[in-house]
Amino acid sequence: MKFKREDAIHKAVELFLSPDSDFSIINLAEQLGVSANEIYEVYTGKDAVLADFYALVAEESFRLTKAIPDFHEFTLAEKLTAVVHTSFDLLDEQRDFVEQTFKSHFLDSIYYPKVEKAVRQQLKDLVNHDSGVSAYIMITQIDLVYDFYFKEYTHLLRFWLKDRSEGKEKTYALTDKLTSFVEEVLYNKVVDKGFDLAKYFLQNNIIKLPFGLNDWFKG
Amino acid sequence: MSDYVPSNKMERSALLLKTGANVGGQYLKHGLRNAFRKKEKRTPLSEIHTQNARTIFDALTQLRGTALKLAQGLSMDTGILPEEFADIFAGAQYNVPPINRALVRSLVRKELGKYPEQLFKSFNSTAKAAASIGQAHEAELMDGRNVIVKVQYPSVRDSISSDLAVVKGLIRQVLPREKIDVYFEEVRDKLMEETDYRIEGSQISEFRSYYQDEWLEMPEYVEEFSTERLLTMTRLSGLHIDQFLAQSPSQEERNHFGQLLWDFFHLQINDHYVFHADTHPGNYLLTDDKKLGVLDFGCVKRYPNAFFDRYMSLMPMHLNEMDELVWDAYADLEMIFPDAKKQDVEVAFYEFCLDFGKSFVEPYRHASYDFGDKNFMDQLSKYVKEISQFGEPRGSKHFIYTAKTHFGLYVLLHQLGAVVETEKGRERVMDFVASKGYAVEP
Repeated sequence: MKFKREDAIHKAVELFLSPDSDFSIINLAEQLGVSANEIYEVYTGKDAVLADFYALVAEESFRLTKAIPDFHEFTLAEKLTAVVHTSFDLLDEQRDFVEQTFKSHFLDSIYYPKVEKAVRQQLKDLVNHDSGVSAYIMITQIDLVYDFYFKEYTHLLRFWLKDRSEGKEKTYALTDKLTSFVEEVLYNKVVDKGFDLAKYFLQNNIIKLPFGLNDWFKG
Repeated sequence: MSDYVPSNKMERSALLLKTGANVGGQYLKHGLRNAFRKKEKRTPLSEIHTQNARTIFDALTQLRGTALKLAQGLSMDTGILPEEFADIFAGAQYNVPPINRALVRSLVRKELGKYPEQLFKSFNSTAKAAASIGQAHEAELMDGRNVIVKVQYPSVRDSISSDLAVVKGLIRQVLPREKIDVYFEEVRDKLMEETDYRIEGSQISEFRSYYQDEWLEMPEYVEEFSTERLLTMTRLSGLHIDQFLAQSPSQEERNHFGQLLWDFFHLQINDHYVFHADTHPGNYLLTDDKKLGVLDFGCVKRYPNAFFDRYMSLMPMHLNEMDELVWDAYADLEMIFPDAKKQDVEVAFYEFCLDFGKSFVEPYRHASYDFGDKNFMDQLSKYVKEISQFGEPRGSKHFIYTAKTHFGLYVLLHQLGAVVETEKGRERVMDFVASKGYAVEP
């Protein structure tokens, strides 16, 4: 790629919003000092460049948040909140663009899965480095949690966009509740404890299984 | 647990009402249970007080803002509440759960345009202290100065109006509406002022210019890192009163700290007519070099000259038995109403206040005074309790912060168990009163 992805996206947003210019790949290429073909090698068209803004926001939010000096001291809910808040901040910097394109270039866009992939990967990254997450959840339910989190991330962005409360107070409250809920689900050790109890019963022959299976648990 | 602070009226009212019902239920249960028990097996009321105080305190801390300010106010007036309440409410001075660190980061960006890690050499996102309307973070500026960054909780302003409306609604059931409106307005105005950190910043500078001295330490306002909802000031280091007391200081050290508090209070009796009006333990530090550090300048009371001069003129009257002048002074201060129909009530209140006033000035009768004397504080608390028996609030609205400051000083000195040389304070008051043309001797 002979141009920086961020430059292309920011320039595209600028052109899109400019009342004096007709936004096209040719215009964009001109502005970036590359050929149109070079842009087509990366993007299928001008809408793809604009849609990539939302994936960039998701990725940048995570990068910026991880750069917080005491990020490692944050709870999981605080980490997620920080990522979501940073997304709000980045979106707010291009508020006009977001208001015009949120539905067309994000929610209804064929590039939506790209954002989904980025957001799921972020949660995965955080979960993999968090010793508090329930083993049972990790083994059996983690994809459901990832799905849920991404859907809620999307809902939060939409809620933020419509929120007219002072200082976006309602959005902050909702974010706080959602991230706390996600943390609670991931940390829920009820099933882990259940397994632990069952294992103890079996190892100590309090419950007897046929075919000498208790010995297998002692192993 | 979620760190969300409820801010709309419905949510906050619901929480207060739920708490009210919970507390009422506890007293009812206690009464019913004890009715069927032998005397020796009955649960003491103090246990229920403690349990209920904890329930109320938890609700107030969850609400922060005005609700917590009310808790702080109540904790200052020892004697208004049962002892168990006062003990737990005293925790409201500086023990509030902080808000989410991620939210703090967003609030800093919102106020200063950049994230803390971009603005400061270091920024501790874990709050050093969390109080009623905001929380404090330690940070270091790029120029190396150590600072405190106070971040205001979101929507505190909205909650002031809604909390006061709820509390006012409850109080209106027992007190006449026209009497309480004026007091609520005073409290609301002061609270609204406290939520504008630029005002607090200018008050820091003002007090620093008046009082920064070899025995008094005030922070420095860092205006370029402050907004209406975020305040940056230089950091003072030292011990809060409770930390100081936890170290079992000697009597000499207690006296030193107490003397500084006493002197600072009396130093403010001058022609500026402005007082640091939030006399609670969390607002003072004993600095490492034994100075008095003054921390919070959000609640600063500017007195109308006429009120303050008249209030101070009571001191020589109470001290020197100049009873013949007191009636007029009380009338000027709206404590009694000479034209009221029921003059017997006015006379009763006058006599009560005269006794109270004479007790209140007791520390000024001596060259030095032992504020650790429990009898003195018990007696004052008794008077405070008895005021409520008159059934309606009296006195100029400016008394709210006068009482908070002057009585608050006594409470702090009592906590310290300090023996204070009071003579210079008395002289200062007398000189001030005389300079305003009021009598200081019979």
